[in-house]
Amino acid sequence: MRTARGRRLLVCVAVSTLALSWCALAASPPWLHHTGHDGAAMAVRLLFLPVCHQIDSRSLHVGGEPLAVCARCAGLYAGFLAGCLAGLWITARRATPPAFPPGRLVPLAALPLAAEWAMGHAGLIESTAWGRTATGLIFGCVVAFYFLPAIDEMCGEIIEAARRRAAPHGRSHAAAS
Amino acid sequence: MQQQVDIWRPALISGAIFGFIAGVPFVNLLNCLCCSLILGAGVMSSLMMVRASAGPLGYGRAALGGFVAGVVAAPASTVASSLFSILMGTNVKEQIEQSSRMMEQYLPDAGEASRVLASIPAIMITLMVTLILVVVFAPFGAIGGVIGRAIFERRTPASVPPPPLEPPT
Repeated sequence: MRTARGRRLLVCVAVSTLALSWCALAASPPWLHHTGHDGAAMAVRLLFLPVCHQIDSRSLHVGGEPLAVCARCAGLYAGFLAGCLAGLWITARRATPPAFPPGRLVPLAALPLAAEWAMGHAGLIESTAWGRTATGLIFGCVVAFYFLPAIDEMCGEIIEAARRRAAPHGRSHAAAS
Repeated sequence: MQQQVDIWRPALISGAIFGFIAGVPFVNLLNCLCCSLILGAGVMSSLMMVRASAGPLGYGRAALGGFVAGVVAAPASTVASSLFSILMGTNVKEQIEQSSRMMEQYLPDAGEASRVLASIPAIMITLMVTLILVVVFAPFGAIGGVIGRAIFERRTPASVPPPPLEPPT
């Protein structure tokens, strides 16, 4: 149980660190430009080009420059990071793993995002950067609460499969001990 | 112990399909909506695994399938975009140079970086882009796998009857 809890904490720390790095990267171009690293700023924008339209008018700005991703993507990534940090805090306080949230929470969390996108494109509402960020935040945060235990489960399966392969001539570890 | 559902076939099929779509001009703009095509690859991989699984699909298995789908989608996307580049008479270097020129409105001193990119052979740029896409698409595929499992898997371990006890020998 202690080993499983240690693995859960390690997974939470690793995923949270990766999420923080991703968010920092997405927010870095204005800072890189202002510190004279234009080549690095361009490289970061090119990195995010496959996953975001990067339209200036639909992005959050820092110091008059847009981030490497649009406002909705920024909200998604920030929400995912917030969810990871919350998951880390919950995992650190619990001895047993938290249960997966009910599956219907995912489409429910996507509803504000989808509705805001659809109504904005239909001209029914004025789609603002902060509105896109907020709806992305909600969905990103909810997804994190599924992703963290899923990665923990995946790591557990990979470790178990490796142990079975390493056990000589099919003997189980239980029998060996 | 319940036999684990195969991840390779669903991941290869969904990664190839959605990766190819992500390389088609204009259609690949869908991927600019928060990487929706690669999320879709993970979701489709989970759907196929849910249908093939005798019992409830685990989130970890779904994430792994989505991860593999994302890895497969990267070279599929590169192949598709290369094919269409040949058909349309453009190449990846021109596309990157065009993107770099658009960025120069914010980064007036990035000309040197553009010149460095222009000096790299096209095949090296293609390989670099594929490698970067693998790193970017894999986690998005895993997230898509988790989302797909949450949406499509309705069975719970309690709803699946336990296997019958074997008679004593």
